[in-house]
Formats: sequence, structure tokens, C-alpha cells
Amino acid sequence: MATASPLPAPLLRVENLSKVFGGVTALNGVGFDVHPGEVVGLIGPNGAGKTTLFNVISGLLPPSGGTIAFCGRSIGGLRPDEICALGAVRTFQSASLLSGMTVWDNVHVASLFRPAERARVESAAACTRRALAFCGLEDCRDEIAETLSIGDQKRVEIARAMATGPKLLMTDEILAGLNAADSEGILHMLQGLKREGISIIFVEHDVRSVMRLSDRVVVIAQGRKLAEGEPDAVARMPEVISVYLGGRYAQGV
Amino acid sequence: MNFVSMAYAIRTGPVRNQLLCLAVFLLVVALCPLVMNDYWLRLMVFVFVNIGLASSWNLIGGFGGYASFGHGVFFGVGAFAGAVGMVRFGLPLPAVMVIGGALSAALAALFVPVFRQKGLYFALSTLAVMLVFETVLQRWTFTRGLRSYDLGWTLAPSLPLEGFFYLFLGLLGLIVGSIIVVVRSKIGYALHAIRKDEVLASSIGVRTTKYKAITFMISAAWPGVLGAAFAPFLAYVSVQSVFDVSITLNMILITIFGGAGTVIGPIVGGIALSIIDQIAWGNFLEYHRLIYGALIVAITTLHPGGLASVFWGWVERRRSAAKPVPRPSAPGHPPTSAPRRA
Repeated sequence: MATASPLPAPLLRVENLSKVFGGVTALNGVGFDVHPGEVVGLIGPNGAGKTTLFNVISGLLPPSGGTIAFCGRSIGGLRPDEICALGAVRTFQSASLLSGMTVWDNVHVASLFRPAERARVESAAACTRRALAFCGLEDCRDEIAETLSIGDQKRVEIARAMATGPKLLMTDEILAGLNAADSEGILHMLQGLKREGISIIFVEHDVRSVMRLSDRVVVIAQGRKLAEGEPDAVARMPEVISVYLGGRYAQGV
Repeated sequence: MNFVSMAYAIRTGPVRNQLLCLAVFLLVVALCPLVMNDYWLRLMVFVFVNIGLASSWNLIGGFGGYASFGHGVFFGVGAFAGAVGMVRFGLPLPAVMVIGGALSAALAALFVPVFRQKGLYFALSTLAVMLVFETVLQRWTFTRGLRSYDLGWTLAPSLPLEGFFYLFLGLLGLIVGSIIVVVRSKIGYALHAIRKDEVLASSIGVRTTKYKAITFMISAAWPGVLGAAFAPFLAYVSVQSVFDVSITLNMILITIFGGAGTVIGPIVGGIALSIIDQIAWGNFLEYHRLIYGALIVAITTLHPGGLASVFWGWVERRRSAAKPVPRPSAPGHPPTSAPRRA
């Protein structure tokens, strides 16, 4: 009799993924897994290909080679809305709220366009209410979204992502531009999402936050995977220190 | 309740109240034949058609942010459906109106590949499609193209002038009513998201192509219906008269002058431009075009949101003056396209 494998089947499996723009190779044979309920930190220098990786996984760009499987299904080349409907949702580097719309409406858009099987379980309004409550936004639901502080705008982004009913959340530098208190709040929310069983791929330049939140860290540089492992182990790898962390961080850990 | 808070309540309130407002407006206008002579009634019909066409254009161009420069093709196809249907097949007016709308919607469905393009490229592609259709209808014997029949179709007016007045007023009510309902529905949310950030919209699950296609078909069906109804009113339909590029330009001008992306914009714009047109014609015939053009440039430069944004800006200022804490309005965008929940 076959024994159960030590790890459950991966939620997301990226294998040998490459993306070429004209003559520029942005991603070159990148591969990693994300398991259910796991937080994977993704770090690397500017221009390493982190955002390109998100763009390919979320369907904004077609892959040039390699495979992406989500829930055991190949998603390479699917449209962004199809990938979102399967349960993989992302945030964008620059705060991307729908201007002129209230906080409620910004989140409600995502609730309205959930796939039918999720819409049957919970009404769109209930879904929006739950997402707003989770992110602590009930009091400003009628504010115009872009008039909020940056920290609250990031919360709206997370609430909107939550309203889609994701299994996997990909955050692209969600802490950028936030003060310490706002960062702390967002990290708490992401930990809450993790407790609810949602996997997260966490792209961030604030290495201390990455090391704190992540179960596993993937380092990419110049479009290639440089290292992968537990946060502490990755932080001690000489090649990671030399290309990204710098000596000062290593001594601080 | 004063005027400012009432206007605000209608804008942000439930769809039912907006439809009620529309009904009151239509009822008041419906009394016009009691006091107006034929000249003014005829003029009013043109205003209704212009507002109806502009409102239809506004759905895809204003709310969706996809400016179609060939929208006149749907009016032209509708007018030809009316003329051919009534003269050649002896169909009644309601039947050709349905056929005109259906043909235009079907034609719009063929546009779906064009939606891969954005901005100027989309505008130019729609313009090109219109020119293609103009040529086809000019050459096709079925539509009495140049080759073997007389040019154009002559129709007997099937209704008295008052009849046309109420027909077009009723159509205007249906068009504006449908737009009020659509922009507050799921489609309205999709359109708002698409206009603001199409990449984001698709990333949060909006099937952008589907909603653009639905919207484009609705915004094409109404000009088709209007065109079919317009054929017996005009009494003469030819490619020159119903495929004129000025029909498309008028839709765009009226919408932008009044306020693109708002329900009220094309209504205000259509009425205002007709009044300006009349005054300029009557008093300054030689400089008529100059005055008309200068006013449009002035309004769109000073207030890119059109007359509607001038009005809502005033309402917002009055509201924030009345309240101790000012609430900033959405910059550059008149916020009617999506509902607020209170």
C-alpha cells in the first residue's frame, strides 16, 4: 500500500518557467511550489523578475516556456479573470484602487464577479461585508477610496483580493511606503489570512518582514532562482548575502 | 429638503428614484404639443433623437471608456432596415424598429475582435467599419445602391407629427431608463472597473471582453431602433442622409459637452447644444458655426467633465459648505456610474 506523501499536493507548482521580452530574458527556468496554507517569501534585487513572475502567474503575460499548475490544473495562457476565478489573486505594486468609487464599491466589484459556485454559497453583499470586517474597514465603507491614507488603501486592496475568495494571494510590495504601524497592521492581516488557510506569495523588499512572515523563502536574481529554503537558512547563504541582503543584514540576524 | 440635497439624494439614491425623476421629466415634456407649433415639435423630435443617440454612445464611450467613432453605422443600418422593411416588404413600423435594433446589435457583436484594441486604435477601427458599411450599402442592389435602382428610398410618413413626437419621446424614455438600470447593475460595476483600470478589472475576476461586448451591443441596438423609426419621419433615406459622419460627431459632441459617463450628461448636452444652435442660427447666421464651435471648445477646456460636472461641482461645494467636515469629491469624474450603499 502506498503511504501518504509527507506534504500535501502543491497548490501552485511553477516549473522551468521562462519569459522573454524580445532579446531580454526576464525569467529563466524558474521553478518552485506553494503548498496550501503556506507563505512563500519571494525576494531579489530590483529587476530580478519578481513582478514579471506575478504577471505570468496571474495571466497578464503569457509564459514563453515552462508550466504553471494551480490546483493540479495547467493555467499557463489562461486569461487573468479565469485564473482569478480558480482562486489565485494578486495585488499590484502601485496602489491600484478604482478612483471615484467608495471603499464598499471597490471591494464589491470583486464580490460581484466571483464564479457561480462561490456566489451560491454567500451573497455578494455578505461577501463584501465579511471582507471589509476582516480588514477593519467598516467605518470608512462610504469614503471615496483614494481619499484614504496609504495604509488604509492597502487594506482596501487586501479586502478586494479577499472578496474574490482566493486560495492563493500574491502580494506585490504591499508594505512599500507604509509607516511602521501600518506595516504591522498589514502583516497581522496577512497572518490572519494564513490562519484561514490561504496561501500567500509575499514579494517584499523589507527583508525582516519577509523572514518573519514566510515559511519558506525563494530568492531570484537576474531571472533565475538563486536559492530556496527556510528563512534563517536562506539568510545565511553567502550567495544570497552577496547579491541581495548585504553583509550588514547577515550580522544583524 | 432643499434643491442641493435633493439632487444629491437622487444621484446617490436607489434606481427607483432616478426612474421616477425620468418619468416626471417625460410627463412634463409630453405636454409640449399643447403649446407648441409644428416647427417646434419637429425640432423637438430631432432633439429627442440626438439625445437618444448620444445616450447610447455614452454607454460604451462614456461609461466604458471606449470611444467609438463609427457609431453612426448603427443608426444608418437601422434607417435602412426601416426603409427597406417598410417599402419593399410592407412591414409595420414596430416590426422594422425591432429588426433595426436586432441588426445593429448583431453587427456590434462582429466588433468583438476590435475590442482587443484600445484608445485611438479602437476609434479608428470603428470608423473604418463604418466606411465599409457605407460603401456596401451604396453599391448593394438590395438596398437600392447606385447600380440598378434609384438612389435612396422614399417613404410615406406613417404617423402624424404628434405621433412621431410621442414615439420618439417614448423611445427616449426607454433608452435613458435602460441606461439608468444598466449602469447601476453588475454591468455598470464592470464598466467602471474597465474604464478605470482594465488590467486590474480582469485581475479581480471581471470578464472584460464579455462585458464590453454586452455593453457595445446595447449601445448599438438603440441607435438601430431609432434609425428604423426615423426612416418614415425623414421620409427619404439614402446613404448620404443617414450615414453622414456628422451623426457620429453629434453623438460624441453632445455627450462630452453634457458630461461623458453620466446619465444626465447627454440629456443636458443635447438640450443645451440645440438651444445654442437655434440662437446662433437665428441671430448670427454667418458666424453660426464659429460660435457653436467656440462654445464647445470653451466648455470642454474649462470643464472636461462637461456641463454635468459644472453642476455636480456646484452641488458638492454647497454640500461641503453646509457640512463642518468637507468631503472631497472624486477628481475629474462625475460619480454617478456606480452605486453607493448607505
